[in-house]
Amino acid sequence: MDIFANIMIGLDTAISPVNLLYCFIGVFLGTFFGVLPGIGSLAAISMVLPVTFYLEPTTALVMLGGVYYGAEYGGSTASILLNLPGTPSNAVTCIDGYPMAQKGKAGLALFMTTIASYVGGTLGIIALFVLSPIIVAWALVFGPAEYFAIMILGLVAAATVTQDSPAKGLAMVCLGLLLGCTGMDLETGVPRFEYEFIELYEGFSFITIAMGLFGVSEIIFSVKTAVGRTFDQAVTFKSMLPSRDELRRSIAPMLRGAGVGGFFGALPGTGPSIATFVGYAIEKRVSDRPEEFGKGAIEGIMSPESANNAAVQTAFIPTLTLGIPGSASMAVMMGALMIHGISPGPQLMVERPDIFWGVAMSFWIGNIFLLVLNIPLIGFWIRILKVPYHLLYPAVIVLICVGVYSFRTSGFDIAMVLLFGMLGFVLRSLKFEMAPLLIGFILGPMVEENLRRAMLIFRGDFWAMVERPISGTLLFLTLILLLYTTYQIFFPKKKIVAGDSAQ
Amino acid sequence: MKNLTRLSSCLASIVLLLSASIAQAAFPDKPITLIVPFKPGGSNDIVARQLGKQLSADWGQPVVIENKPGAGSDVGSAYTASQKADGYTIQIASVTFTMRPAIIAKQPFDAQNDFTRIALVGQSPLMLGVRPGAPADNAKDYFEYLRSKPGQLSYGATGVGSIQHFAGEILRKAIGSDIQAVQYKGGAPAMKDVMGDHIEFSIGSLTQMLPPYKAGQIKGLAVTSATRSESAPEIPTLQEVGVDGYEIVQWWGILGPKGIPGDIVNTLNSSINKVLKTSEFKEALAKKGSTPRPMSVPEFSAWMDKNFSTWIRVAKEQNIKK
Repeated sequence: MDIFANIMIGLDTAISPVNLLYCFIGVFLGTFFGVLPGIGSLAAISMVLPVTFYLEPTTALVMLGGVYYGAEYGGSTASILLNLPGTPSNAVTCIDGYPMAQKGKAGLALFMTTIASYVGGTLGIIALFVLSPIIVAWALVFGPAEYFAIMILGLVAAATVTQDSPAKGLAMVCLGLLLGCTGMDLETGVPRFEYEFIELYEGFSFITIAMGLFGVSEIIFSVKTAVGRTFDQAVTFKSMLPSRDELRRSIAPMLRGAGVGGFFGALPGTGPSIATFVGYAIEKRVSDRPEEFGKGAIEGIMSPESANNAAVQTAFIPTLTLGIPGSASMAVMMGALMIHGISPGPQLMVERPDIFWGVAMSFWIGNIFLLVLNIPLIGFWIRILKVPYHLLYPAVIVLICVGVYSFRTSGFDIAMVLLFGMLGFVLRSLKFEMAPLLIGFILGPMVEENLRRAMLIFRGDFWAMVERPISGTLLFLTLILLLYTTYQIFFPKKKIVAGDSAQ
Repeated sequence: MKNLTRLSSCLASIVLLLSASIAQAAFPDKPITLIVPFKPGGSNDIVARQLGKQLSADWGQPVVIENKPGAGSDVGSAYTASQKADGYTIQIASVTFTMRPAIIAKQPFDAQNDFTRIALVGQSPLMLGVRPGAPADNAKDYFEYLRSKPGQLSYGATGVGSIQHFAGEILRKAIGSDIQAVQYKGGAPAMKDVMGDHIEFSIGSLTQMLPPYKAGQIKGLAVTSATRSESAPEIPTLQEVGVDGYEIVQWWGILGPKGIPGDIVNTLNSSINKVLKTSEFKEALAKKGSTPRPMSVPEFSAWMDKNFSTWIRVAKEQNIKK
């Protein structure tokens, strides 16, 4: 396959004025929805979807794509400024992004995540162009056994995201696993822990948990400490630029993040959320100052944001080339193509190269739009923090409720988000961390689903899973990681304090 | 002069009366809400939007599509059942709607009695999609292979009591194999594991199966309808390859809350049937491998009754749990 010919086909489609216009509108709307608390990329796409029925299929996908990665990007803004993750993947950005903002480095954090998003996105698109055929072959090799193995590795790796008390972190992972059990069991059709609520047949919605635990609890928590207070943030352009040291610390995490993101994004069913957790966990492991993570380490925002946006791009590979959407957002986008009578699948690249490469190319242009659109806007977003809390927080609560309601037009979800807000407040007061809970909640059901599927296929023979080369290797890695972590708990590493990082 | 005023006021009142009676006859005189009990982008949503678009052009009233997903389709259906029975809130329902009562112990409504049956929209066959590495290229040899490996093989379906599960269990019994059902969260992930040779087969929608079938990534050995599909006429039906009486199709119908007046039901039915006969609608459905199927109100009601009783019987026979 001639890559340059493909780029030319793609460019030809992507820079047509109509596509450029809708790409820009999509990116703009996506960023806007993403910044609003409670509205994630799925809700944003669903809202814009009906509009695209009146567009050409390529234009429709260009616009929806723009909304998708725009919203994934915009979600980081609310995460950093207000501790409000719009999507599962942005939850990780809260861990270090919000402390950065509280230290008065909101501008820097927003600027650097924009850069990380752009670099991650671009590398993801390069993978989309160059590696599509290889990635497709790989994605098919992954069956239930391999999925189980990689998810359990992800769960073990990500469980170390927790900081101070491993016991509390473990407790939160377990609570997350339990919450994830709620809803209809796939293999038997029996609802679990639904307590007669029909709304719980499909489990808790991620939005209510993330918004409640992070957003609402944050607001309740600050009511007692920060009445009428505002953060003093510098909004000059200079304050956004990283120091030489910060820049140096950012590059490697950004590249590693893109690699992790590109890999997970291409696996249908895993997607950006796992990529960000794993990306973060890797950075914390390889860092020579892991104690700074969770207190505003720049590596802690660079890697997940880069991973997120790389994954968002490579997620299009299985969707467009196999016709298998990796996430709910991808399924909506496939629906948009099918409304126009185009079924994404192996033939798409051959029969409609203009669509495939045009869309891929437009993503890259859209990522440039994101950069151009958002760097000037950073100063504007930071000013949100200058609004006194007693005005800002009620408005945010209203936005959260509207966002949560619009997701499934369900009043039940509003009650849930407020309930989780209370729970979050109690847990925070007891110094529990929220991120491990989310990891358990997201990964738990996936681990269970794939394990049970694999066990059914192998008729209960666990060794059949170990004997398979990929799943066996991954399970072996998991075991090593577990042993290493245990070793670390009993024989903690002596802290080496280098001259320049001494406090 | 006085007479003239009286005459004109008389005339005016006649005109008013006339227009009032016309307005009463002209259902609908305000926007209609069409509930889709699934997320946007799925087959129900696509069919509903096409239908809604053409109905609103016909009526001169907007048809608002409202997605109310959750609990299979029970959240949206429960909502419809609770609405005013004036014909202004209607819902799209698929074959799954008639399957759920057979397998769900408790639904928040009575699927057979809480709804007004309005019209059938269309139907679509399913395809028996087989893994590319399977050691057979036609259905008869393949069934022989499935029988020859008891206790080892699995197929993919989309949840207990889904159409894919019903289709698979009925086929399993008909060919005398003990192949095991494994559940997925949707037709696409199940198909992915068929393409990767991880499971034997999946009986999925034609729309989803056709692209990989044409690319040679799955083997399309049969379709589930009574007649061959125009989208892939080379694929035989299951009846042709010796599975007697096998017919399972995906279909979509329109329901409303219980107690919509008969004349409004008839107006809705005839407007929908008018849309079904347009070439625009036929083409839109053909893209999905589906065909419109107009029915009168009594025909559709009998169709629903037949579906309900079939699935209850099959669930009992196949021991699909309630």
